[in-house]
Amino acid sequence: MKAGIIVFPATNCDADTKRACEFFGWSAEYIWHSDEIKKHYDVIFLPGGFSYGDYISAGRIAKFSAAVETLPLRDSLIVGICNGFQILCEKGLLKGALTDNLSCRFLSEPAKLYFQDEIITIPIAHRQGNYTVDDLPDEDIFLKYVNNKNGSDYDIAGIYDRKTRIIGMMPHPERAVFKETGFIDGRKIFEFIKNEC
Amino acid sequence: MHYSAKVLVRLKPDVKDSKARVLESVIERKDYAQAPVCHCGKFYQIEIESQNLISAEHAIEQIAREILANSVIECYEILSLEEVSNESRDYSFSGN
Repeated sequence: MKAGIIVFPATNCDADTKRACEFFGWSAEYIWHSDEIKKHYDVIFLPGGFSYGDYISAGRIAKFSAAVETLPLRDSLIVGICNGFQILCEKGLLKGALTDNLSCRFLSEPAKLYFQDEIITIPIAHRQGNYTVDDLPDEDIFLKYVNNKNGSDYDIAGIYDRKTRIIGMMPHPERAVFKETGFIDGRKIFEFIKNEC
Repeated sequence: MHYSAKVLVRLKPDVKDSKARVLESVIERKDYAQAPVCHCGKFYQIEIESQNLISAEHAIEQIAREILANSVIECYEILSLEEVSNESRDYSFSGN
């Protein structure tokens, strides 16, 4: 299992994502945002952070980067976490868009989520996590908030377009892998990712 | 030729405008006005070099469509586009 992790200016969850991948025995390496992706990866992560300072809007500038322009669609599983999800929506690779939380406040707290017939707990940390979408097939929704605080349509926390093999989610599973962080349910998301590769 | 454009970007009418809702609640809570209806957006002033007005308009349209606005949730309006000379370039803001 080989993972690539794209690093943009002001990405701040790249190291956490790499450590989480390595926890599962995957090989993981960083991909600099200005480099074209030429190697094969089983999974490519667009990690959380504030790419390009969230200028204009979250993910707006990162969508023009060489790494995003050369994402090997359908070859690798693409996973956008938080800011990565915002980038994928801005690029038009996933449906919908992410706007300001209902409260207009930054939400940083553990979130209970419906995932595959169970409730898991994974941290969220975002200001623009209010997912807005006109129409989305039920089978594309793979993660939902139990208590929807950011105002997302249909309580959506994460989506998975199986046709294009692209996942986007606002919660941070990489922050819920090691016991020291207080939560380990993120492991279930990484296991899910591995099964989809 | 030097051109200056002013562009306004805001959420489409049917998209949740969280900032506007917060603004409305503050206006009412502080008793500035009753039943306010707000819309929030972003304003950009962009100056470019271009051969003529038509090519400048084309460039500004492209910038607004592809960088300033996300067509899924936002719409944009080019408020003005005019040729400016170096002498008349004005970056001042006359508001309070």
